[in-house]
Amino acid sequence: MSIIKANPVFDLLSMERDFNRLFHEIGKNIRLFGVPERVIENETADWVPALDFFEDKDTYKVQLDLPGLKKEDVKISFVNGQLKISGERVNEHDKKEGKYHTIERSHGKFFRAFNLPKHINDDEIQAEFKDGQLTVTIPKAEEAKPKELEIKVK
Amino acid sequence: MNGSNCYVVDRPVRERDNFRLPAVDIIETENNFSLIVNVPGVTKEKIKVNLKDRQLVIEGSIQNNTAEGANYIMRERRQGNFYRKFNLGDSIDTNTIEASLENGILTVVLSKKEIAQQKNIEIK
Repeated sequence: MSIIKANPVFDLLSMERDFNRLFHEIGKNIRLFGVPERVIENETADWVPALDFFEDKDTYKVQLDLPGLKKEDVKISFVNGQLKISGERVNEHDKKEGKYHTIERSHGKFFRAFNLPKHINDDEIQAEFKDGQLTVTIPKAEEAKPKELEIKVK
Repeated sequence: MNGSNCYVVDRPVRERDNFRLPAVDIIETENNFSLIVNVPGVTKEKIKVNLKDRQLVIEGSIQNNTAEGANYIMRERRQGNFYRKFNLGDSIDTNTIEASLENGILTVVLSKKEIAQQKNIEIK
């Protein structure tokens, strides 16, 4: 297992998303860095779930933290080489009775999309939901698997 | 009763570094307080809820099931230990605390003592 140090760029990315959202909500539709990630057909997402993307020998895997969601709440699609994951966490504080003292958990619509590598087996993309974590498994096509050739020395 | 002794206070943890604080919602209803804690990927065996001296401690660890030889392209999710402490007010009945874990959400229900519950007194 490789050890990866915490990358401060992620904090910058999440800041960028917040700025994008801010400008989007103002209605001016200005994007600071030109990343259209938060836009779902002109709808703005409310939060961005944390995501891991990694590969092993045979597959690419995407894992997202979606605590409290069920599989019915999540939609995954693969269009034109792009994997899109969207859904909604129902705004509980409108529904539930009582007085909220602290609200730290994110609510509302979420959206993530990114381009997948070219050489994949897109017919066999699978998704699994467990303990509030979504795992999408994308099998690599034969071309993308690491090749090992034995070269004979004459 | 909405007096000052009727509270659940989140006490920020400073004595422990390298622990992350999971996101929490605290809701008060007529008869109880609910703590809703985001703990994605955590199983029952990996989480502990303790009560000591009117302090409720939630701790555990998140281990993302990393495959052998996995090569990360993006890594935003954090793993490791989490810890969060709450001071319980006098009005909480510490004998009837219930906790449940489902879909990566820990729910702790703290019921208020009889006295703390609102009572309407009829004026004769």
